[in-house]
Amino acid sequence: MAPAKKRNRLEVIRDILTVIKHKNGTIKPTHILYKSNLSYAMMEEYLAELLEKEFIVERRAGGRKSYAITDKGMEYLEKYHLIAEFSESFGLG
Amino acid sequence: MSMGDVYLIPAWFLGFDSVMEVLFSLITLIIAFVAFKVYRLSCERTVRHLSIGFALIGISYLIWACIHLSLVTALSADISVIYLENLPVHWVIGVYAYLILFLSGLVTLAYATTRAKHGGIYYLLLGLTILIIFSSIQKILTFRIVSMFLLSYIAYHYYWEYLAHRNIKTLLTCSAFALLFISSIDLIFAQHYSAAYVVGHFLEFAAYGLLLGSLVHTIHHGSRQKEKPPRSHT
Repeated sequence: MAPAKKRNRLEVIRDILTVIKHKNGTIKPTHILYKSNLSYAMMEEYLAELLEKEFIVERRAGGRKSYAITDKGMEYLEKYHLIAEFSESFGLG
Repeated sequence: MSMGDVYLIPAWFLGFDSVMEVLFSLITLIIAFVAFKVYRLSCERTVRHLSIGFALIGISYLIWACIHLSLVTALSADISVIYLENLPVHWVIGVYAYLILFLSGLVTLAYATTRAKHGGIYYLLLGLTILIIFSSIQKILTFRIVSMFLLSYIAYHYYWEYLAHRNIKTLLTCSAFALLFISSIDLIFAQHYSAAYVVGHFLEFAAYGLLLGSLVHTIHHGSRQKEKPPRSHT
């Protein structure tokens, strides 16, 4: 069986946002780790980037962290294929 | 500007070159606009750099077209010889603006393709490029050589992108920058051969046409596809 192709940055971001979206828009970090197939260090790096880009927001309830997708994150998912196509066409993928 | 900064333009081509440059400007500004929209959606630094790069090139072509249009009324001969050292001050400022904006655009595009995270490298490249132009005696010739060097780097990058993806859109972009690279070599000879100036413009015309084709293909396919569920492997 051919090995699975390594995901690029845009695909990883899409996958994390999709996982959050499919969990009714809010998810715990452990679930992201489990569902997105990333190492803990990589997940932390991506979550920091998504927070900085305002695609997700961090929430704390009873000392526990969770992440929620924002409208900007939803828009990223909606327009993902345009972003991916453009990035690939102009060599930025 | 020095005596070496001379262009040979066939009289029949004067005016036509300006129309082509306005067209190049429009295409690059459209790409810059779409790139900006994609940047607003993705917040990707490289896409922002691409947008800025194409916008700078678009503005530079517009300035260059205005200079050429004003020359149409000023010159009339079988071969119009333009000595840049004899140009009025506002034209010289325009020529400098064109040189700096065009090279800044190419540096920005080259920087975007490196995906470097350190902004200092960008300012180093930009500073060196502008310094080379200002310190050169033959500014136009130096401009053409620096453009050729930057375009060779960008074309090489897109060649590898094409090998990695092997699809129509990367082929179009790769071919476009390869043509721009060839035109930059050809335009070096425009200082001695008027035909080189014409050929250079037609090569650029083909290159920007391909870039527009790549953009249309991207928008068409990008807006058709639906969101897919996440894949199970990294």
